[in-house]
Amino acid sequence: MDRATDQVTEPITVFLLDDHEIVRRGLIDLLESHDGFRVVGEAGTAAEALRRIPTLAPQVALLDARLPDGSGIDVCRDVQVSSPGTRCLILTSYDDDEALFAAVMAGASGYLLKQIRGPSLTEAVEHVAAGHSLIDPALVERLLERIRRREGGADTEHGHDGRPGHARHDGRSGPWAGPDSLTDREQEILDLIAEGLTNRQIGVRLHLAEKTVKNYVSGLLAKLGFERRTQAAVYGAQHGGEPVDGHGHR
Amino acid sequence: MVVPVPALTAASGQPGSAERRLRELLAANRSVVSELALPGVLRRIVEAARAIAGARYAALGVIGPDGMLEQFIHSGMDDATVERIGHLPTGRGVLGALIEQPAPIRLHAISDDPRSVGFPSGHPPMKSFLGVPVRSRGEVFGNLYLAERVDGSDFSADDEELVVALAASAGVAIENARLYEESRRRQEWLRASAEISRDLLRPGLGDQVLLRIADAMLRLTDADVVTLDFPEGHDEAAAAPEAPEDVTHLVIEVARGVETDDLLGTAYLSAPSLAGTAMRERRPAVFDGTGPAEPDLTPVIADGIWGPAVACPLVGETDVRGAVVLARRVGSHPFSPADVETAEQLALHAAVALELADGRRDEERVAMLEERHRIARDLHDHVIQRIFATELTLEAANGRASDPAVREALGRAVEDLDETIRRIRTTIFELQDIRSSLDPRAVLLDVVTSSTAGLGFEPALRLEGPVATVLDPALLHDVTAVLREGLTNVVKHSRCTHVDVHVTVTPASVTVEVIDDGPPFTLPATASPTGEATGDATGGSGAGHRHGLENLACRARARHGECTLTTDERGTVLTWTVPQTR
Repeated sequence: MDRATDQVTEPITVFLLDDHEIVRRGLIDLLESHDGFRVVGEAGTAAEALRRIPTLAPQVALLDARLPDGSGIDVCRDVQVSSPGTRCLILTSYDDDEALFAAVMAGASGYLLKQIRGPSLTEAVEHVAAGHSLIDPALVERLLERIRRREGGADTEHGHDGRPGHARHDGRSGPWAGPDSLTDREQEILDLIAEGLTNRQIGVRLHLAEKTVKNYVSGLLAKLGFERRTQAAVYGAQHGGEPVDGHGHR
Repeated sequence: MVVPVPALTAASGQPGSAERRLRELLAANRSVVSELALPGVLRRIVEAARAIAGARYAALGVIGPDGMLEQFIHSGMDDATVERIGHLPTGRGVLGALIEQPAPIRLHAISDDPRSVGFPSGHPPMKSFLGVPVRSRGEVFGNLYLAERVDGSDFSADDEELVVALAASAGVAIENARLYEESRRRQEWLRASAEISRDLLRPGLGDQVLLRIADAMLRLTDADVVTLDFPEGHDEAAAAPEAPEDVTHLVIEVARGVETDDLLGTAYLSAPSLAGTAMRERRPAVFDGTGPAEPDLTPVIADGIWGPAVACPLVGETDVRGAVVLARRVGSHPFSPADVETAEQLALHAAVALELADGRRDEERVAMLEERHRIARDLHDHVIQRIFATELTLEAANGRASDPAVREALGRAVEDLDETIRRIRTTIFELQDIRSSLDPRAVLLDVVTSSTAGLGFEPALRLEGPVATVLDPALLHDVTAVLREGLTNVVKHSRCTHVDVHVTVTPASVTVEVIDDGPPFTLPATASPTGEATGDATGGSGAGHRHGLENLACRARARHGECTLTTDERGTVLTWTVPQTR
């Protein structure tokens, strides 16, 4: 490093997880065109990322929300335990609402939509590396409110099709269309997730095994219609088979 | 009908040797059993009996379920005489005695018998008489009646013995004919059934299947008209299936047979009708065609030309969907239990056809939704990724480029691609069919889409930020009002070809923009948060317009925000923005 500045800043170390190589190439191009970043590793699957992130201990991990073998949300929650120094950003092509939900569920420091304009990607990474969160706490509160509202409002929501309270299980519901109501325990865990607790911390708080908390999180994601089905569908499509999601949905 | 052994007829006039008469009997037997169709068999029996007994007149009376004569096949009387008598015997008097007590009767003179009720006027004189019952399958099928030996003598014991012998083989012949008829009917039924099954399994036949089933009913039950009747409005979208008790009117939707043109589409009261009864009781309802015409039974009978009728319910998996009604012309035989059974079976087929059609429709809808879902997924998983990757590459190139012109071009390209991604997100949202009344995005999309009719094209909606999370019901109410008013405004005042609708949500504010590319018009009242009009209110846009915008300004003020109408290079821009309350 031959830059002579007052403070010689080390570049921010970044790890990339995205199943599209072309996206990883682009992100590396973009980040490394700035001096302040160094991509120390990349992965195309959740399993690979879980293996490599703890040893590389990057400052920031950019995690695609949807992966062929899991979700960036699960990866993020694991990373908080296995590599506590790593801050995560969820990278997603979803709408803001789903992206926000994904980031909150993941306990991530923020989310980045797959678009360039708007919040700058490099600024976001810098911000997060410096230990800040990109998620507005007021928005998190609103999000939880919204989830509770739709939980309670399941009846009116489905009143329009003439079958009050009739839950849709058609498998093509978006992230907000799964009105299976949450149990008290799930609600409790959701609140703790929103507070930013890791799976381990939630386990300690509720006297549950970490693995049990993990299962609850997966259950919550599925119940709120997020990730598992679609991700399973992607997995199925890419492996030339029927999607395997245990629900019989396609 | 010609008896195949004419020599027998000629010879039977005189009493011959026993051997010759036996030969005649054998020939008569052969003649009787060589025919398979029942009407032909009966006719041959009459002719053969007349021949071997040497009688002038012969007849076979078939006993009906009511114990009266259902059919009377006669021989030896010319048409003019038959015409003069007017009606066939129904089984009273001496003819009735045989019915009551099935044993041969031999009389010197009919009129001498105490059971005789006399002859109708115009009836030729009949004196000597021989009656012999004909049994088939252990039951009395009917009676052979012989009268007036051609040589003037009485019927002898030999005659009786011969006719009894003939009656025995006649019984067998009748049984054969009935079995033959039954097997033919069964065969036809099987064929029709197989055809229908094949039709049912063939997609795309639609209502054709019902027509074919109706035709099969016509053929197999000997009906003159078959209709399929359904509750009024049953096929309207989202109509909840009605309990048969709640159905007020039935409508004829399929009609086959003779003179059915006027029947199609006829609506009638369900409660007193045969079809309504069948639907309520979930079993066939039968009208035997006797008694006065009951116009309430079916519109078919109301015509007056129809007699016996049957209605069978179309029982689906969960409910009774309708009924099938069969009718015969006035004066026809009532529908037999076998006919009713056939109709019932076919009604079952029809019900299955209806269920299958429903299933196929659902399947198609599911397939359509799945296809849309797949497209959404492809857009999400592949198209956005690629565009994003391209953007990243362009952005990196932009960082290295030094030529300002190149940088500007790259920047514009990236912006275009970003806009494309946003559009794709909206499209994905539309494709996913989350028509939840609680999802603000769906509500906004609906408002924007509903202006398409007025505009002649669909405005482009762009949502930015966590719209669904930020817009609580009250805020959503305001935002939809703004969109409606803004879009109505554009429809009324602007000859534009493109409208952009942006709803941008940040943790700090909510902003709605309606941008049209029409020619600018004089700015009407617009308002700042302080309530001052920022535009010139003298424009010719009219009070209604001003009122609408004033309303928006009020909504903005109530939330400490503002509403403006400005013109810039994009066109006319209505901006409504309010800060987020914490």
